[in-house]
Amino acid sequence: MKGVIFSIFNEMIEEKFGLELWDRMIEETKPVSKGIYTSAQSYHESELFSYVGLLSKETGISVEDLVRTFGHFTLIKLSKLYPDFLVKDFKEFLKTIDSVIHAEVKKIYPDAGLPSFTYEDPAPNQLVMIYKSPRKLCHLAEGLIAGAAEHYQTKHKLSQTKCMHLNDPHCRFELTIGE
Amino acid sequence: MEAEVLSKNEELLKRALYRERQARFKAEDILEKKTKELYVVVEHLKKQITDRIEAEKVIKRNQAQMIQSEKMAGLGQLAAGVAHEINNPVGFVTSNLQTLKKYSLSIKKMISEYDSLVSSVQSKDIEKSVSFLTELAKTKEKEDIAYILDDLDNLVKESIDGTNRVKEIVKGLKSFARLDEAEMKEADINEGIESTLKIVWNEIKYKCEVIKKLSPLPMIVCFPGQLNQVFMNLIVNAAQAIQEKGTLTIESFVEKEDIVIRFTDTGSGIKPENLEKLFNPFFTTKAVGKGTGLGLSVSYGIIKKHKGDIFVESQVGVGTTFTIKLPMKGAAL
Repeated sequence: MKGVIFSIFNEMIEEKFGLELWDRMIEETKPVSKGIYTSAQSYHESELFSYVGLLSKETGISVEDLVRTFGHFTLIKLSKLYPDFLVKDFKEFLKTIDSVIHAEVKKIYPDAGLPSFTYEDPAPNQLVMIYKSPRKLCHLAEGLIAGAAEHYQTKHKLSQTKCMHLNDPHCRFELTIGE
Repeated sequence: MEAEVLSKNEELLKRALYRERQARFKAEDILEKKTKELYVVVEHLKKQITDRIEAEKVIKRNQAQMIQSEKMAGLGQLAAGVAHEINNPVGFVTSNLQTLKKYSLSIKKMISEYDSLVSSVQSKDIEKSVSFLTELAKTKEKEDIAYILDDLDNLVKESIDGTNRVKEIVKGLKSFARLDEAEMKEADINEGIESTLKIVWNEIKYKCEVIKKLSPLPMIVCFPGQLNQVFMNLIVNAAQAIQEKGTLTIESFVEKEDIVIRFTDTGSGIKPENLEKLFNPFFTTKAVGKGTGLGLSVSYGIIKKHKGDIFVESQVGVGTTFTIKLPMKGAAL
């Protein structure tokens, strides 16, 4: 998993829970990286899962909700780091993730393990996103979508009709955009 | 208590700062490594580009050599034909001159006897005069002066014709051999066709009746020698395609913005499957050693260089038509 995700996670913990908790999380989970992350390198995703597991225990918030919140936070951060990728509207943006954003990521980090998205576009106010990733981070994707909706100030309803955690071959997000 | 909190916060910040610094070092390290990698890649690309440029130069050089050798082959073919064309008139002019030399001896003899007669008449020596007169009549008879006088005009006329023919051939050669003129210049395409025909005449005269339908054309800016090379190729090919006897029709005319030159032969024709390969380098249906397979590809190159087009239509057993279109404007490179 790319270092930028860990850096953003670090930022979120510091911002929302304080430096002390972040320091303790490193102390307790003893990551191989020693909590030193640079965006140019990859780190094992188990480090993130350990942090989230610990955080869930500490706060009583479910892992899924924490990952979702992290997705939301990540999108807002990324939108500030890479404003050029935020195309004109919410739906268009979601559709560029696979073909434009992930393609750009591949240019800089050829070894990045990225999820794949395929799309169905049944109506102007609807979009179906089919998510596949061995990391099964559909909650993160859901949070990212929510973050994007906030950035575009667009209301949306999301229902997940299939989930890899329920042994489906992929996760399926059905979005209705607007009121 | 407050001091304890402060010291704890300081510890926390120190650790956070340490992590940040380590991350920066790592990032700088990665940057350095990436920069080096990039440098190697750029160097590699540079080398590839230089190699490619070199390879292209070699290809161009080889192509130029091939074109040169095709030109030389064409010139060799020409030289043989031209040698024959020149040899023939030179032969009979030489023979005529030898005859004239003999005739001149007879005439000189006559004149010398005539001189003797004149001086004996002047000295009023009747007897001697009569004797010289008899001698003169005998010599006239013996040397067959009547025939000489009759033949003289023929020999001179024939010799002048012969030398004129040589002159014409040389003129044609000169005009044809503008092959290596590096610059474009204004030229009359019809003149090019005529001079080329003169050059290849020996090679085609036994097989081809040439029908010329050349309309007056405006001068165009071109490489005249190179176009002549194209015409020679097409004319010689046409003659070679004719088995025993046939016709080659050469037309030229203006059509819209182009000068059109058309060579139609009644030769054996080209098989459809060969038509598209016709302008490919080294494609030939001639026997080994008979053709380089470069003639038409070089011709194609020359016409393209003039921003023109060359097409072929052919029917097996009926004949072949090559059509060249040269833009009157915009031929300039």
